[in-house]
Amino acid sequence: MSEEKLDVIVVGSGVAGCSAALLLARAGLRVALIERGPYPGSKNLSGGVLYGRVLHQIIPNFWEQAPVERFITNQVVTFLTEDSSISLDYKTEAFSQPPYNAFSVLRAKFDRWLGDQAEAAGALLVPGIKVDRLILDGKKVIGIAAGEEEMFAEVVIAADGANSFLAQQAGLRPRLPEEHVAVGIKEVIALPQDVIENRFRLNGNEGCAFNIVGSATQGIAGGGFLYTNRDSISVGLVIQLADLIERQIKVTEVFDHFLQHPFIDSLIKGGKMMEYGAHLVPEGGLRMMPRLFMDGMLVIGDAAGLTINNGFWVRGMDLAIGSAIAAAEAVIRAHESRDFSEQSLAFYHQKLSESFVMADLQTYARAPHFMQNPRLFTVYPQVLRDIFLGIYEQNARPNQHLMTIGRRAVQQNDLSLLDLLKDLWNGARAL
Amino acid sequence: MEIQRQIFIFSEDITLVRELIGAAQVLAEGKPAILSALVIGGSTSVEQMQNTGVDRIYRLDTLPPDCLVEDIFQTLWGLTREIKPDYLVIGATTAGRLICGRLAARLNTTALTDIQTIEFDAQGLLIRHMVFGGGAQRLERPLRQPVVMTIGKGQFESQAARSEKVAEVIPVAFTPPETRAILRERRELPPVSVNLAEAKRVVCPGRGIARREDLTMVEELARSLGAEIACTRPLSEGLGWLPRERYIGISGAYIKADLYVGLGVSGQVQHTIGITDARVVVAINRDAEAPIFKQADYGIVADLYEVMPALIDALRSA
Amino acid sequence: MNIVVCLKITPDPEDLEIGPDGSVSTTHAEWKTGSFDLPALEAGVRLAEMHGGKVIALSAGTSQINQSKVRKDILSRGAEELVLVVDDSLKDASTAETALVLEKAIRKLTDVQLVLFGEGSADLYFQQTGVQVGERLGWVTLNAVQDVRLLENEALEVQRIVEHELQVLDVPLPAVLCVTSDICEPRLASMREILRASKKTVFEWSLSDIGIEGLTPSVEIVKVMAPPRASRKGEMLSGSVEEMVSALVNNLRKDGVL
Repeated sequence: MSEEKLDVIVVGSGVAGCSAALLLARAGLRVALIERGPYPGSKNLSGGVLYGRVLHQIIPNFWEQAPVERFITNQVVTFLTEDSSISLDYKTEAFSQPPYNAFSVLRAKFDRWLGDQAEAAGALLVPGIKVDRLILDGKKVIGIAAGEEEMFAEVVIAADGANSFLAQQAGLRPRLPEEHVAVGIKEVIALPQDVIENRFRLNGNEGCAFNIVGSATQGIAGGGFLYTNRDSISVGLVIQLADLIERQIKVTEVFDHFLQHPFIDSLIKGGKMMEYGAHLVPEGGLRMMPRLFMDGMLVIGDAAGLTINNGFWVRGMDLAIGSAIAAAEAVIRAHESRDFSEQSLAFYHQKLSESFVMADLQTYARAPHFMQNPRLFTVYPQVLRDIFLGIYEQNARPNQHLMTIGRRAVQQNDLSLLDLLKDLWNGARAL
Repeated sequence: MEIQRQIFIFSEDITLVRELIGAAQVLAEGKPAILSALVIGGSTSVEQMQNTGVDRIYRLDTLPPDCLVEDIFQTLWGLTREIKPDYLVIGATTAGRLICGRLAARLNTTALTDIQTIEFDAQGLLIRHMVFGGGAQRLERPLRQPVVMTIGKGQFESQAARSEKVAEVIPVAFTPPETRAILRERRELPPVSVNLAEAKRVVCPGRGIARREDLTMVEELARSLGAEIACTRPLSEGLGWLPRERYIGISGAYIKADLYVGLGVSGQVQHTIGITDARVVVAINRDAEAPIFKQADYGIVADLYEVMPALIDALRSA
Repeated sequence: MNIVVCLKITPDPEDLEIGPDGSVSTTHAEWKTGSFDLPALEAGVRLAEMHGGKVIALSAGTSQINQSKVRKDILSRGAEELVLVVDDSLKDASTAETALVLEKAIRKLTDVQLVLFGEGSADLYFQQTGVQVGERLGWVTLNAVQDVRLLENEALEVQRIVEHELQVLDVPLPAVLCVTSDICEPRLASMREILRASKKTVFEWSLSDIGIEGLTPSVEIVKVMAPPRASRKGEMLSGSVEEMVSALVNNLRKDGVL
């Protein structure tokens, strides 16, 4: 059909798709990067902390030109009960030096910039096109179709997000099982730069990232997050879909409740809501990983189920870039040998296995299961609250030893010692 | 002696001319000025303009039959060179906009369109008009002389005959244009069935109406309210469900009705700019977040298809 | 024959931000081709597809108009070339300056017989630039054009709706036509056209490239502000549909509008 056949079609221009297109174009391949929205990032609502080391490998010192918001120097874990909050606040100077550990980013700006880099490298960005299906020749993927129109390439890279329709159509994975899918819901709230810096005690471009558990989700498996951007705050929840459905609660109700919690309210008050949205987040880790390659096709990023949530942090973007690097290497090699068969593209899986991506997924392989333990969202925050209340409250009765307070808190909340020990053991292994 | 300001007015629409004279009085700043107007028509047209404060009426009996209104340009240009006006005030009709642009280009001067207000400060004339599809207003100062401007209907007070001044009537001959389009056919369109600008009540379906057939329910509601049917631009230009003259908003109608009922209207500023002067605004929409609710007197968040029949019943039984 | 279609690339009016003090900002707005201009482009492309010839898209503005997304959008809709006259003095240019720039740019292009404009720009909608360009070129100029057909003898048949009259006219070439939005529905770019767009030629001209030594503004923008808003009651009715409807009817009766 087309005047010249393409080497690669990348479907989806999130962080994974843009990175893959960038690397392939740099290697001189003819790459089309297809985006459903009007520009990369236009449909993207990620919470937005980018662990930057891996992007630094492909675009050295990217933070000097990329629209990053703040570099994260404070990592906070907060436990919420209905009326209290207990935070573990880690701040280090080490994170405020280049190459920086992590950045808050707004995906609508950041992905667009990354798309520009891919375009500058020679990738052909094709916005405003919704890919409807893969075109197969026998068992080999040979192109994609959008409406009446078809486009062919040696290899298709599916970077079409958590819900990856292409991976499903190719039979690489089933529909997402509900227990491994979460709903992400997020708002971006505008606040003046100086208000953010005062409120979060930040110097200059420092930023902080909160991971929030407990009554954030009204006991539903999941957690909250809050990140500081330059002059706005990203705040959201990631909640288990299955749990939500079972309890017949609307995600918006949980979210409103979360935003009204005194702890969250104190951080966002006075701000103006700028953006709001919800999308699916894969949360199954290794167990949910589809087959990643077949004749003429690879799957990368969220589409490949590459996210880790261990309660302390949520990661996806750096894993997405890691998978894009491995995929690009495999495709470049396949291009050289003119062999796009499953055997040839298996090199992607090999490179991925050798990389930090698989190593980290292995490390946290038990995390998704552990993170579904309801005690994590219900009992433990309450126990912690009772302990700290016991420590700090002066109620004209004799103070108790910490040991006593702790024991009472555990008993009051019907937590069996056995469960506590089991959870501690599982937690240590999973995280 | 101070040099008198020259103001030159033209519109093919005689009712609009009287509003342009109103604007010209504002432009004169209460100082002596010479107001001239070019009028197409017979003695009745001239009579309508007598005693309104106009000094000179240049009268062209009629346009040659195969000519367009805009073919008067060459005649107007001749008079412009003779009068040397400070301000050229043109009615904002289709032909008026074309003439305004051609005059401004030929004079290499400032054109100011669809003026809403005229004021003066220490440095001179300031005008206000809409930009960004009605989302904003802009205050502008012309930096070149003369100033060519267009003014639409309903912006300035029509000048009644209250002046003692009797205008001098000067017949002019038609100067044919140098090159022009040849009129092959002209057809009066069926009279417009609606004048939204003068409607007392207006019901306005928006994108919340799912199917064209559902407009029958809207019609029924309009009947029981005694209202005209308007619409949002997408229903007219995008879907073609209703004629152009029925859409409200930028480049469409501006209403002054007592009552406006928005049916599934989201409330984009391009639309709501047209209902600013409505007295009572009712919004019915399923989406509680629809911006129209911020600009409504009464809001109902519910399914249109349940509210419309209930409202029709309530109005009938009342 | 070359057909020039003039397009204005502006901040999207949908993205206008109104501050609490009534200030108006387009800082965060997305820049795009005016929605009234796209039908003109489509009309030009259809004429070229039917009768041969090339469509050259032409725009003028600050460096913000030269964005890859905007270029691609225009070129993927059927224009063969894009000419951008870029100069930062074109910021807030009024119709007189823009018309001068477009006139000079059109004169620099060869074999142009027809210039098309949309009915008005997306940001200002003054409906002036097209007719001013026509006069500057000294060509036959018409606005409110609803349909264009190319006749055998190098002339156009044009249909216009002027107030309540429909006109059919023979228009000699060269001509400048400002077309209404319902002349035709702009196409959605196909993948193939989007890919082809990246190979098409984009010329960026400076003012001196078209023989202009500097622009004198014709208008000073004194202030931009949000329009005054009618104050509304903002009463949200509650209850069942019947309850809300009866509350509404009572209120409207009280207000004396029924």
